[in-house]
Amino acid sequence: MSKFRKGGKKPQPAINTSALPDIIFMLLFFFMVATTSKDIDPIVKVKRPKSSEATDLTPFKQRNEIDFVFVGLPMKESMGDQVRLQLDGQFGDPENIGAWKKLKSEDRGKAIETVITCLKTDAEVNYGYIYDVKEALRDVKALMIAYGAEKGKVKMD
Amino acid sequence: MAKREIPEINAGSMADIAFLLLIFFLVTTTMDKDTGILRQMSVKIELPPDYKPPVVAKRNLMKIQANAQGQLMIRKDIADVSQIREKVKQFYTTNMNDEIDSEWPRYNLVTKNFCDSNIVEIEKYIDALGEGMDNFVDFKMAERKEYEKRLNVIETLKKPYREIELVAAIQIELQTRTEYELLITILNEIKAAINDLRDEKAEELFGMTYRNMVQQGNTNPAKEIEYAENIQLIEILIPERIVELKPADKK
Repeated sequence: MSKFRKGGKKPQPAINTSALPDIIFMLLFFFMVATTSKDIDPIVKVKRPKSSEATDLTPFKQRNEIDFVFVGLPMKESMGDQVRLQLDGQFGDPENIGAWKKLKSEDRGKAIETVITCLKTDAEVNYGYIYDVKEALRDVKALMIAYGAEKGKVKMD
Repeated sequence: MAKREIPEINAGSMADIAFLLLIFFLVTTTMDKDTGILRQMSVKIELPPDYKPPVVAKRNLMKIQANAQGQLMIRKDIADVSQIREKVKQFYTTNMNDEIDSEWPRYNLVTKNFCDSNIVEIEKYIDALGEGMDNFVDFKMAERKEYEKRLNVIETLKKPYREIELVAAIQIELQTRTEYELLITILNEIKAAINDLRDEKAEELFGMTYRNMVQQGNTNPAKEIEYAENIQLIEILIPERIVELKPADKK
């Protein structure tokens, strides 16, 4: 029996952590692939509605070839309780969006007709407001729009 | 010289570096994919004074109305969101193969002659237009392009095909206080119905669904080129004409 009791108390062996970097790198790559870079911080609240037929706008039609406009209530209450647009980092109204689109297309050196405007709109915004935005876009011939919606199952009530 | 053993590099801090990078990416990126419903809006044009808009028969319109309370009407009947899909399919398929019901849009045979004569007519029309109608010329040119696409379809199918009346359209009329979410739900249902019909058609012609072709094209540029022609053909056979009207209560 003494055979099994050799050495008495043995020190606990150190856990081998050489595979840890590999695991972390794996996570890192997953996040690099699965996420997109965040270029602006939102200043309006947007809770997107769901749609099962929403088209993926990002794939290789590059993200920077789409103008994103956020539509919703300001995040800070001090900025009022009216629905506003977020044009890049600033607040805007339907009257400003035409000029903003023109500026964007000049910066990009692409015709205004070819750039999609994605309206990332809060689910509770009124259609009247969207309609005003749309008319303003039609006036500057920015005819391609996308209604922002999350891909997912639509609940019917 | 004696061979010296290269000391092993301490990789203990590798994990820390990777962690640092990981956290950096976690903070600077967002998870949400940019998805949305694509819509092409119509051009605002100045019409020539003698231009008469075509009269659209009742059978060719499918008006979906929704009010601020989220109640729905399809063709003046009170309806439910879940009925839209079925109604849109009915709109497209009732007379698709045979003339059955005069309440729904007719299907006409599109032949090579029909397209050619229309193109000639459009060209005549453009030539006859005076100066300063550039916008309208563009509009007519776009119309001409549509006929050219149809000629392509006839060539690919090697026979004339039946197409829904050119003026048949689905109209969405909301109110100013209708919520955006309802617009998306309605559009989603219409798109789903049309995509279902396109899937069927594509399956029959190419043995592959339309949604599948579009999706593969989205992730793979080579496939996109490969399927472009098929997709265009399907989109002509089952056209998507959705018109968003001015809110009913807007001045």
